Amino acid sequence: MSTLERLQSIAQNPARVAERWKADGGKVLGYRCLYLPEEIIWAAGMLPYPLYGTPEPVGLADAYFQSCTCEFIRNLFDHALSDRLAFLDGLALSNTCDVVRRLYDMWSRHVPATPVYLVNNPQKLLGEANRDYFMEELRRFRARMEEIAGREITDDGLRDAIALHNRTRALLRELYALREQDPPPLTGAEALEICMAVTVLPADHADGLLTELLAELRGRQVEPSDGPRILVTGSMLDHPALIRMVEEEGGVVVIDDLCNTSRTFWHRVEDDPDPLTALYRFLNSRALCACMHPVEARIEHVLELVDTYRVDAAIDFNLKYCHPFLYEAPLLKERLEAEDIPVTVLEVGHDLSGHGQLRTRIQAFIEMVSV
Amino acid sequence: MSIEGALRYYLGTGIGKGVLRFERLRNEWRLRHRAPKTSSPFSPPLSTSPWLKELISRHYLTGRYADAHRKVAWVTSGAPVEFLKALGYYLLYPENHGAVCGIRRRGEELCQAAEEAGYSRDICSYARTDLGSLLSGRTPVGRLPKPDLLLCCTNICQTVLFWYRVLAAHFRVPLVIIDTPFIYSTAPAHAVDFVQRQLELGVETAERVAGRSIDPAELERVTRRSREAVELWMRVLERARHVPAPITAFDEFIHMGPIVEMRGDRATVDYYRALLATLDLRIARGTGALKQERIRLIWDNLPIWYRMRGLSELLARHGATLVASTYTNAWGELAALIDPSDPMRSAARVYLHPILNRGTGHKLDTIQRLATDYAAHGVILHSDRSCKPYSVGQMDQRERLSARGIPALLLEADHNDPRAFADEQAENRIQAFLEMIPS
Ligand code: SF4
Ligand code: SF4
Repeated sequence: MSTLERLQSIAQNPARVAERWKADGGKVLGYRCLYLPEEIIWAAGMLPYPLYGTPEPVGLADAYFQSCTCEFIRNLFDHALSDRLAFLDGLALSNTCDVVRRLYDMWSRHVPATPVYLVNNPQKLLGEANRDYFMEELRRFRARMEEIAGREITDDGLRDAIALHNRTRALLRELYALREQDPPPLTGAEALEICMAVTVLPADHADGLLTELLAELRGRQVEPSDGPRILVTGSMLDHPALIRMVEEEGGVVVIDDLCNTSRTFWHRVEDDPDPLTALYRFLNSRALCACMHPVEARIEHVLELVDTYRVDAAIDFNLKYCHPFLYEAPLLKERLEAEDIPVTVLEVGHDLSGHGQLRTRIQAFIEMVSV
Repeated sequence: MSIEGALRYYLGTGIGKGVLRFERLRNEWRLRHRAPKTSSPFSPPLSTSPWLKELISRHYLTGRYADAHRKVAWVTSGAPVEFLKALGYYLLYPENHGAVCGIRRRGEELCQAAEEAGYSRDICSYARTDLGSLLSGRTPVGRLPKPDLLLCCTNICQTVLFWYRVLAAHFRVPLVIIDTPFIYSTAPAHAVDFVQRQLELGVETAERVAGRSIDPAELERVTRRSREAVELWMRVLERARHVPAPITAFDEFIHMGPIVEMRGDRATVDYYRALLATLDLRIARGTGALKQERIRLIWDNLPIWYRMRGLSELLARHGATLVASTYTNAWGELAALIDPSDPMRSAARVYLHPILNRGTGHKLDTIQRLATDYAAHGVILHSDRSCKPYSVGQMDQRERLSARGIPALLLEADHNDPRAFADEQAENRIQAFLEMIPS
């Protein structure tokens, strides 16, 4: 099996990684989303495990969340209610949107076996007016993780965790740099699966695999394509089906800007004598998600990606009922179109329903931008 | 701000105010002299209603001319506005404007205008109403003044953050964000410090835009009046504990205008004082808002603005009414936290604690407390498609209330978009619910 195939199989069943870690006697700490540092979890000796959903219609969670709320969150809650997340020793959430805040409520009431913690990060990032506050939140998070892990988190431990995770981030940046090529040596669907696998793997293990993968891809022969170079953006896309669809219709997905792909590794933790301060600065610079402010920083970032990856057109996959991104869509569209980048905004269901219609729209869009 | 602008402002508002006063007097006269309809299940309107109408119309009238002569800020309903008042800003509340559009049945058309511009039908209908009004230039209040400053406080929802930055991009004016950490029990000190720090920075921005600095004495005065108004408002609400209730939550939804939009004004304090006296008179005479009150209910969430009358009539046909709501209560429950002698610190604390910035358990407790205090027979939980922070958790709350012997109905609707409301179905469900209530 090639390294790529190994990573793909992990992405298809991420829970296996957690279960194996548990079987070896470790603790697993689930988390969502980008605004808490996995380094703290790692330094406590636990596996930071980002939660991913599965493309199924919502079931049990419908008794707790109205049907007009984020399907991703309802799907995760389904997993929790049906004991599919029983391997978690805890769940950490960051303060992103109204629904996540309420997930905290629902989780603490109805999944008592798994303690849930909210890192109440500020939403207004950049600038240091939030520093004292955010630092205190991180100190509290650290203390809580120590409690769950039953061991102390030392500054040295944090430094090591930072160095380790920075290495993974650097390798992923290297991987993504390959996609600047024409044609890129990997497809967008593959990139998404690689990211999903790497984020669930223990970082020290992921590094080895990524290094092998890079060597593998550097020697890969790919057919040239004259399809348009596409940027994919949105919130959460935890399944490769949609990107695959774009590629099947002739688009070349060269870059993705999603909660579970490039946003996780785009920045690195810069050096600071105090590791917690370093982590604070890192999170505070990560203004990449529409939940955060200023949104201009995020739009600038997308424009930069457009430049670097020589993007011809963009597809905004808006997860149904995901407010932060729904509000942002017209702004982003306007800005990209001002740069002559055609954009289509597609509302998509998390359970992969309605894909026939989506395919028609994607087809039409690719055709339109190909002429 | 030119002389011409000042002239327009004073002339426009001056003449308008005269007209509004005349209308009020005429309406008051009519109220006193017109024979009440005997067939109506309701007592005659509260005698202060014409005054309220004058107050609110005057606010929008001033708004029409405000940007010619004063600084204007658009603010969220939960925002700490005392410092803007002290700096002389005219305040416009897009949410309240949204409600006015809703009451006058303009919500759907304005929502559609926003949808045509690319805003999803799944975002809050207040935001859609507001953006639709902005993009189409249509409003039932004549004209909205352009803002010089936007103030957005995330203590009600995160939607306002996303919505206000669209406004900021549209108007290209400074946007002050008060980023309020979520509170599950009580606010930790570092959260209060954080909000206070942001308030201080917000004051600096507001001073720069206004071109003057804040007078601490004026800030204290405004804060004092805010507190006074909030306390009076709470007393107004508490009058409904009386059986029969002299005021219903339907009335309160309208009478809450000043506490939201004109908190900190002298006129607001005067108005609520008069309203309180009216209610006391009703209580002394044993007059209820409903002639035959049989079932007392608590309402959770925003009102359904475009169906207020229909709903209140439907309930009244069964001798039922709303005696309290978590929504109107939200504007009164924090009175004790307001400390005029330390306006910034107390604002930081107060504005961290609205019901929507807290856990669902807090809301459940509030509903239960209201049910006890107001001797209610049941609860209607309006599941508002637009408002996630308010609505998520209600299904759970319904179960828990029922388990504690308080019947609760989950009513699916939307506060401003009538397309999300199925009249007949709602009517049947309400009817079935009322029939089930023992009274
Ligand atoms: S940001 Fe969007 S995708 Fe993420 S949890 Fe919130 S609503 Fe769901
Ligand atoms: S109705 Fe709810 S979502 Fe809309 S602005 Fe108000 S609090 Fe926010």
